[in-house]
This record gives sequence, C-alpha cells and structure tokens, in this order.
Amino acid sequence: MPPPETIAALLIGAGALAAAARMALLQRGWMSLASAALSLASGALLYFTLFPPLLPLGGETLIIATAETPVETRALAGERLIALPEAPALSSAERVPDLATALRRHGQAQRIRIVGRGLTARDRDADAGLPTRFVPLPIPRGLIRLDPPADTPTGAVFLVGGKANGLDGGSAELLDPAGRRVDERRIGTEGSFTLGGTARSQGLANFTVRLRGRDKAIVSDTPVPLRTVSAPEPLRLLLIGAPSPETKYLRRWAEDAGIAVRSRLEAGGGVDLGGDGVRIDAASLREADVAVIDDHALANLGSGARGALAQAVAGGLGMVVRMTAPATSGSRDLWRGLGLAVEGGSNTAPVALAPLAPDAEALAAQRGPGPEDLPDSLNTIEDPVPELARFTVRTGPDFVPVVTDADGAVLAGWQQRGQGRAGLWNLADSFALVLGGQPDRYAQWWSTILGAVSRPDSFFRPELPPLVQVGERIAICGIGPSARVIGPDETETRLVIDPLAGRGGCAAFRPMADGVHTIAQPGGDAEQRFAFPVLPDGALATIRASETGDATARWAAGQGAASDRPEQERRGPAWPWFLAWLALTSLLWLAERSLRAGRSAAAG
Amino acid sequence: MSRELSADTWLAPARRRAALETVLTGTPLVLALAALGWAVGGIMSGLLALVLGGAALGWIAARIATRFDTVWLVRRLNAREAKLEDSAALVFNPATCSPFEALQATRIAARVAAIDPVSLADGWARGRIALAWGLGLAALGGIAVWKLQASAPPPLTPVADSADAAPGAPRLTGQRVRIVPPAYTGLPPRYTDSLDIRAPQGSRIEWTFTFAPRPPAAALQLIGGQRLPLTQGADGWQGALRLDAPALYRVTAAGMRADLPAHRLEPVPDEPPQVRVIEPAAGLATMTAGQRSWRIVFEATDDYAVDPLARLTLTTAIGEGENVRFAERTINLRGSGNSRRRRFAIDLPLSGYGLVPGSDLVAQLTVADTRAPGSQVVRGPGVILRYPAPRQPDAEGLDLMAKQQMPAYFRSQRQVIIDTEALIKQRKTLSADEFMTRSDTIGTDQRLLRLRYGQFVGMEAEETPRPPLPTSDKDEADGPHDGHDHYDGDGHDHSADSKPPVFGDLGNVLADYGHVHDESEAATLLDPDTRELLKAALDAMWEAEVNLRTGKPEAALPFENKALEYIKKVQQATRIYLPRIGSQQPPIDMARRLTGKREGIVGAGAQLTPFALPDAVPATAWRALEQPGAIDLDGLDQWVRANSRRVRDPLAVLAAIDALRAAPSSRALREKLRGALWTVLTRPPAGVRRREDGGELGRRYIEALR
Repeated sequence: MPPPETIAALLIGAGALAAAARMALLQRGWMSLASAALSLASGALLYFTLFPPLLPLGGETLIIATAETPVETRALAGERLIALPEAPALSSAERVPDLATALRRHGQAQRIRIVGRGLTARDRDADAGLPTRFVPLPIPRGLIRLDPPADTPTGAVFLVGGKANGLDGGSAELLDPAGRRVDERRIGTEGSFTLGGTARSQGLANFTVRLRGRDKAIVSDTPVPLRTVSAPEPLRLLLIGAPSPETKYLRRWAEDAGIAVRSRLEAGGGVDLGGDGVRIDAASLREADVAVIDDHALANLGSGARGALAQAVAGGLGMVVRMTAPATSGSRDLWRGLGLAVEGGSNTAPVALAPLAPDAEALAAQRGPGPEDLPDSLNTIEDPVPELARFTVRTGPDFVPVVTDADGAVLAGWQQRGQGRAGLWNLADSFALVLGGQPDRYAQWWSTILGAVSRPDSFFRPELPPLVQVGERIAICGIGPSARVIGPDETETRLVIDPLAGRGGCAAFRPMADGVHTIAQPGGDAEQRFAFPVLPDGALATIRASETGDATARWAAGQGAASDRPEQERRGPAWPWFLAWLALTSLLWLAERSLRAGRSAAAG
Repeated sequence: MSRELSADTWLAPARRRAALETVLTGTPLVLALAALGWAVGGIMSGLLALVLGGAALGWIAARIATRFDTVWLVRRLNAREAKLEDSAALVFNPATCSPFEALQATRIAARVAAIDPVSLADGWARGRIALAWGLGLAALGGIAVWKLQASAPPPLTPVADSADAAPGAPRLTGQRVRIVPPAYTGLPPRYTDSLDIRAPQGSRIEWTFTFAPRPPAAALQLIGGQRLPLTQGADGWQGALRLDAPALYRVTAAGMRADLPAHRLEPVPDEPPQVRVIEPAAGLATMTAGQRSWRIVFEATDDYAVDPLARLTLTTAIGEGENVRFAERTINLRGSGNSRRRRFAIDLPLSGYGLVPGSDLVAQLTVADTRAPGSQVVRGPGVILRYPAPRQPDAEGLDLMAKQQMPAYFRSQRQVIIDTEALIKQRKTLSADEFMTRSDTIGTDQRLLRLRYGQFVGMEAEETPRPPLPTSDKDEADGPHDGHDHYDGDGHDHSADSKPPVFGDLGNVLADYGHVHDESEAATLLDPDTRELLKAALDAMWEAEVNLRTGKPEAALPFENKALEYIKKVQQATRIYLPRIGSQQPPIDMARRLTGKREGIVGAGAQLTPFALPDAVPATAWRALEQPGAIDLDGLDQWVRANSRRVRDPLAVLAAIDALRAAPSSRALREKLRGALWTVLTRPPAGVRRREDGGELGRRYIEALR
C-alpha cells in the first residue's frame, strides 16, 4: 500500500485540478484564471498542512575539545562546545568530566565532532551512538612506538623496537643505565628501528632510547625498562653425545651459566666419559628439563631408550638434536619419530654472521668490563668473523625457528610434541664461535634454543602493560585475591579483582607516583613478589599522542557505522500552513462568490 | 792648493750628523716594534723585528746622508759666508777651467779652507729626538704593562652561593685552578674555572681559594686518600698537587658544616706514538728487475711529540726452504715535519744486502716519544721487499705451490730417483766397483732419508747408518755426478763440509750427513692417516735401500718412485699437530693390562673449574640498591678502587658512592649509583630460563591441540 502522503497528494491534486478547471471554465477573463491558480495553490497548502515539510529541529552538533585543542575554537550556530578534562582552557566551553556526561546532558545532540589530539581510553570504552567526525592532528615528531624488551635471562641479548616520526636521516641510540651508548641505528624513511643490548645481573634496569635528528641534535630521551630474570632453580640439562669440542664448550657454557649439567659422553666400547652415570630411561629423563643429544648418539640409542625419550618429550621434556653430520633418510625418520619433521639437511651452506656491535665502543659497552688479565686486544671488533656452516634443512609450518643467521636462515628451531618440544640444532661445529672470539654469541644462541624448548614451569608473573606511566589506569592480571601493590614510598594498595573481567584475575590500578612498584601476594612458602617500573608523567608523551590519535580515529569510524540513535524525522509545525491555506481559501471563496455573482448578474 | 779641496772633507761632518740624527730619531720606533713583536710572537719575532728595523733604519740613514752632496755644500757655503762672494761653486766644480774662474777659485779656496767643516752641519734637532724617545719610551712602557697584566693570574672566579650554608660557617667564595703540564708536552700553563680537572698525566695542579668568613684552616680532601692542607697566601688559600692517578677531591675548611660536592681529578695518559707506512702502499712489495734502491716512508704521530731520531731495523732473509739465513742491521733515521707528526723517509740502496732471488728484506721503524721520564718506544709495522723467486722449471699447477712450501728434505726422495736414473744410464761407462760404490752411496742417501722420515713416526734409529765405504776413487767419481743438480739449500748439501769418515767416529751421523730440522723432543705428531702413508713410504724406502746397497738400482727404482708417491700424499695431508708441551702419561695399571676389562676406566669424569663472577660485590650492591635499605658502601668503594683498572670510568662510580654516602636515603642518588654500577657489572654468560607453561589454560590448550 502506498504511503499516506502519496494518497493524500493524489487526492488533493485531483481535487485542486478539478476545482481549477471549473474555475477556468466558469468565465473568461483574468479573474477566473487567477482563481484557478489560487485553487491549485490552496491544494498545495492543504497538503502541507496535512504533511508539514521536515525541518532541522534539535539537530545539534557537539564539539568535543580534547588535548591540544586550539584555544580559538568556537561553537557556531547549531553547535555546542564541550571541553573534556584534558582540553586547555577554552572560553564559552562547557567543562565535563567525561564524554558520557556530555552525551547524557545533551540528549538532543545529533552529531559529534572531536577536535584536538583525540579521546583518552576512558572515553573510548563505550560507543557514543552518534555519527562522529574526527580529523587527527599531524603525528608529532619523535618516538611514536616503543616495544620494550621482553623478560631477559641474565647475560642475554635483548631487543628494543621502536618507530620514529619525522626523523628521516637521524639516528636512534640505546643508552645503558650509566648513559653509555650500547647500540646505534640510522632511521630510514619508514622510521622503524631495532636496537640491541645485553643484560647483566637479575633486576630492573633503566635503559634510554635517544633519538637524534639529522643534525645530531637530541630530539628525545625515552626511558625503557629492562627486566632481567634468572631461573629460580637451575635448569637441568642432559648432555648426550660423543666427547667432542662441541660438548666440551657446551658444558663449559652451561656450567658457567649456572645450569645443572649431567652428561653422557660415549667414547665407544661402553666407556662413558661424562662421569655422571646417566642412563636414558623414563626415570632419568623425568629428572631433566632439556636433553641435548647429537644425531649419532640418537641413532645409536636402543629402541627402548629412544621410546623413553619420545615419551618424555611428549610429557614436557625439551630435546635438542644436534646435527654433526649430513642427515640421511634414516636419521630423518628417527627424528620424525620424536616429533621433528624436517626435510633435507644433507648439504651445508655458509652462515652469515651479523656484526656483534656497530663499533668498538658499543661492543665494549655491551661486554662490560672483562677479567683483569684479559688483554684489550683480544676479540676486538676487527677480528675476522669465524666461518661456520649449517646443514640446509627444509622445515614445515609447524617448525618454529628461534636462532637464525643474518640472512634469516634457520640455525635452530623446535616443533611441539605433546607437552614438550623437540628442537633441532643444524649449525655444524658451533664451537668455532668460541674459538673465533665470539663466545658471547655462542652462549646467546644456546641460551635461546634451550630456553625455547625447556620443560615448562609455572611462576608468578602478573600480566600488565609493558610501559606504565604515572596517572594511567592499568589492568593487572594473573594475580590472587590478596595481592597488593607496594609503591616506591612503601605505601600499600590492595588490588581488588574485578569479577566481571573474566577468569584471569584482573584488577585495576592507577599508579600515582613514578618509581619501582612491587606486586606482592602470599603464595607457597614465601611471598611472591613482582616489581615493575612506573615511568614519570610525560615520559611517553609522543607515543601516547600518536596512539590516542590512531585509536580515536578507529573509534570515530566505528561510531558512524553503527548508530543506535536513528535520525528522528520530525515534521515542522502545521499551523502556519493551515493559516495560509485558510487565508488563501477564504480569498478563493470570495473570488468564486464574486465570479458567480458576476455571472448570475450577466445571466440575469 | 786650491784644487786640492775635496768636497767630502766639508760634507763628512754634515752627513755624519744627519745619519746619527736619523738613527737617534728612529731607534725608539724600532725598539718599540721589537718589543711589540716579542710580546706578541715570542723572542724570535722580537729579534726579527729588531734586525729588520735596524736594517731599515740604517738604510734610511744612508739615504739621508747621501742627500748632502756638492750642490748642497756650495749652497751652504755661499749662504753662510759672504766672503766667498758666491763663488764656492768654482772651488768644488773642477769642470770650470777659464783662467779667470781659476783665479777666483784659488782665492776662494783659501777662504774656504779656513772654515771649520763641522760648522757647516745643521744643528742637533734636539726637540725631535727628545720627542721620539719620549714616545718610544711611552710605547715600551705600555707594552711592558700590557705584558705584565697578561701574565698575571686572572682574578678568582666567584662561586655561586650554596643555599644550605649555615650562618657563620665559612663559604667558598672564589676559586682558581692553574694547570702546569709537564715540560715535555710543550703545552703552556693554563687557568681553568672548573674544579673538575682533566689534564695531562704528571701535570702540576695549583689551587687558590677564598672563603668568607676566613676559616682558621682549609684543606683539599682526596676522597679515600690523603689530605692536602692549604696555606694562606696573598691571593687566598693555596695548594698544589702532581696529577698522577685519578681521584675525587673536595674542598674543606675548618668550621664548614656541610660537605661541598666532590670534584674529579682525571689525568690524561700519554699515548704511545703510532707508526704508519706511507710508502710502499702495500706491506709486501716486489722487487722489480734492475731495482737499485727502495724508498720507504713512515709517518709517526704522537699526542705531544715524536722523537726526531728513530731506528730503522732491516732484516734480510736470504735463502730458500729451510736454509734461510737471517741478518739484521739498524740505521738511524732523522724525521722531518712538525713534532707531533714526523715523517721518516729513506732511499735504501739495495746493493749492500746481497739479495738473491727468493729472499726478503724487511724494514721496521722503531720510534719513541719525548715523554720524560721514560719515553715510550713503539715498533711499527714491517714492510717487506721480496726478490721474486724464479719459477721452478719442472713444476706445474698445484705442484708448484706444494714444492715451494715444502721443506727441503721432502724433495730429497726425488733427488734419490734422479741419482738412480743417472746411475742406470751411466752403467755402461762405469766399472763394476765404481758402479757398486755409487749405488751404495745413493743407498746411504736413501737410508738417511728413511731415518729422517722415521723420526716423524717415532721410529728409533735401529742402527747407526754406515757411511759409504771410503774408497780412493770416490773423489774422481764425483765428476760424472754432474748430472745430479745438487745446489745450496736443497737439503742435500752435506758433502761440502763433511769430513772424511773416521772408523768409530759415527756418533753423530745425522749432524754430519743430514740436517736436524727440528728438535727430537718436539717430534712432529701426525694424524693416523698420514702416519699410515708415511709408514708405507718408509717401507718402500727400505726396499729401495736394500736394492741400492746390493747394487741393483733398477730394482730399487720402482720402490723409490712408490716412496715418492707416498710422500707427495703426505705433503697433501693438511693437519699436523704439534705438541707444545711434553705429554704426561698416566702410569700403566699392570693389574688391568691385557685383561680386556673396561669397567671403571674413567673415574669421576672431567671436572670443570667452577666459574666465579669477578663482580660479586658490585652485583650485590646493584641488586640491593633496587630496594630501600642499607648498602655496604665502604666495601663497594674498596672494590672499585681495587678494580679501577678494569673499570672504564671509576671516578664516576666513586663520585656516585660518595654522593650517596652523604645522603643515604636519597632515591635519586641511589638510582644514580645504580646506573653508574652498570658499567662495572660483568656480563655473565647468557643464562636460560624455563619457558612459562601458560597456566591451566595453556596446558589445556596444548592438550587440545593433539
């Protein structure tokens, strides 16, 4: 059925036309023509009386002023200026504590326009339900993204990622807590960079990412916290293989790194040079976290021992098969039985090694002071790079590479099998790194693969954002019901777990002072503690500004798409149209009367 | 008489006076210029200005004196003396010869002669001379005052008021530091405003301080070290120290309540000189044909000065293979250029070194700097001039490389073969005895060679080798031996100085006939494959030797060739292990011997020496500083002092320790010390941390994956 407007329009149109025709036919002359026109107009006015046209009534636009709003911002007609707490002082602006308050107060608002840097996380939680327009400010010059290092084992290498804006041709430097340069990278047009450093002893350390412009002037210094962790109890390593330089240097590193090593070094004829009397059975493997076994020893294991090993890996043991010779189809079958499906491996290719540091000074800063009897001329950055070879294995999608060379070729990786992981070390004679003056790289690579495959463990590690700034609300997850935060000034804050935040045990926390905070909760035999640094206010200003702009743009785009407040089409008031119609119709009536009178007079 | 009058007699006094006057007037200007030159550019430029100014003045004086000529004299005489009747020109102008003129000239000449020449000169321009000297003295005085003011110590730098000074306690109000570097550096003394001092090692540091109100005593306290009392001088409290070791110090005065901040005393050590080769461009230069001299240019740089005298060490290595003779001689070279960067160049004449093809000439420069006491001597990089060896005619491809690298005794098997082949060829021309003798001689050579190789596999000389039988015709037999191209250095040149063998004197055959190429104690160990090859070569040599000794060189030849083949293979074996120390074998367990039992062969297994981090003290402090609490600052302080050589910047750490000691609870200072300690911490070997299991959820996820 057609809408009432159409039916009414048709009826009124027909009536008006008929009336106009009658008027026109009634008498010749301009009077009758004018009356016909009047009757048409009257029909139109009648229609408008019934259906007044749409008027922009109540369609107010809210201008939401956020941080960095220009001070001269003014509201125009049909607009209302609302200032959020971050906004600067604006004349004629209504100050509200948050966006929700503004929307509640101004229910008639139809549109939102956000000016300034953007909405903070507080206001982005819920949808506004109004079409929103937001033009982000230009991204500030400086650091706009910072990926702080993950938890780093003692002495290991860590990476800091970041992105700078507007610093093409400048450089990014990593400074250690004493302010010495550890690494330096040139910033390209794209702006991303990765810096590396080395951890020391267990604890929190404050590194700094320093950005320099093309003219070498310092643009920004941003603190980067580094958390160095050590294993609560030593890793239990089982070293199985033939007596060889590799096992020698592996043992040396493992003992130095505080790993509990048991070794079984078969010298042939049943002679074991390891001296630990290690047997490969289920009970012995249960006592180990990682087993490093060379391919030859693996092939010579009895089927029972191999079965025990496979079962132990499925039960959580980490295993690394160390390749010493080209792989054969037989050896690949053996590995497949342990959950390691790789192809190839019968050829070797040279390994491309990245330089240890950009320059000698940075290398010295990375290494730290050496023993007193170590001459400075030993293992310098000019030393020739040791030549290494890798077995070229082809890996499937389930294989996770963890050690790669400078060209991205896999040197070690692992594959999940049950609860455990089976790893492959396809770097031949890696001990040449130690002999070639790069023992730190050797230790780093073995640390990486052993850390990746070792038997998993559970420890107290609350989840929280990696970079915390004063005054920013954060969510701390993975904590117990009686956890509390101890501030740098010894003030304690109880953390209240939000039951609505899921089963992760999450609580909100807003640090009010910078410095090291500690999350403490009773657990086990001792109190579990976890320290995290809170950066001073403004330390991450450019990063937060960039993030705010991006997030607000995304939020605003979502608002336009799904608006739950449909446009209310209000008709305008009908009475002006009615009065006009009445006046016109009265005029028409008078005209018709005079016409008829004239006609009857002429007739009569 | 009239004509004898010389114009010069009358001119000389006037000229003298004019010149003297000019000199007197100009001297103050020259002196002032010289003084200015001395004040600005040192004594040399002062002297230069004096000499130049003097010369210029002399020249001007001479020019002025020459202005007084005959024309002037005539004009002056005519003007002065009316009785000369304006005719003085006639006396001094010999060209006028008319009789009347001559008469008048004679008359006038008598009158002129009566005039005192001195009276003709101008009077002294006293005023001008006095003015010049007055101005000159004033200028000299001005320069002297300026110079004195410039060399006077600058006024004390005022010190900003420290906020927390207690009323009545002395405050530091002025400070000045004078640094006098050691004389050998050639650096001038300088003043500095800052109390953080960085100066060449061995400098003398002189402090001057003022305090208000005046304290009864003041001192410089070296932190963790001596106390240097200050003495009251004209300017203020003064003290001095020779800067040898890095230290921190603090200014103290009696009655001062709060400690002033500590300052650094940092000596800059004198770096040893650096030597660089400018010419030749590469370290190894090849001698060109007909080259007579070799140009070498070294450049030595130092932070202060390079000793202009350097020593060039020239080493010649003449000969090939193992028979290389070394000779060394030194030449003193004098460098040119400025004292910090000197060049040492020499054109070495090559004729005096007796270079033959295949020999090397190595040049190395030893330079010293001027440090006193104890100059630092550095031996620079060596450059080699190589006389290229001629190509071996019978070598091709890889063979060439192998032949040139191998010691001489490896070539001797080939020589034995050549000898044998030559002998077989000459068989018809030789008598049976001679043939036998020569075959036996070759057999002896083969035997010596076998014994030589036998040493490599640990074979003991089972018997002393017998020399060839002394025969009367042995010397003549050497003639036809010309086919054997023995030459010096082929490892075969034993016949030259071998004495005729004496019966019973056979103790040192190897020394007589062979060459001891290595120490028998350090016998070369070979890997098993090479050993096998060598043993096979020895067996072949043995067979060859037997056949040669019995006069059957034809039968020996195949074995000789086989031995050569094996030796070639040995040459290609790359790995030769040289033990550097004697091996210590464990005693043989007789009870276990030959039983075939393997139990307990290995005892406790290899034990590794446990690793100890040398930074336990700072690492502990670093961890302790993370939490509030007391720190063992004294222990840390001692550790840093004991390990200051390992640490890059110990002063920064010590300063941080000292600052924290004053305010132990300050969080900022604790952070600062913690940061400074980072440079002290040794990087431990990369550790491993077990991966996280992801909690209950993670375990279930992994299980669900299966």
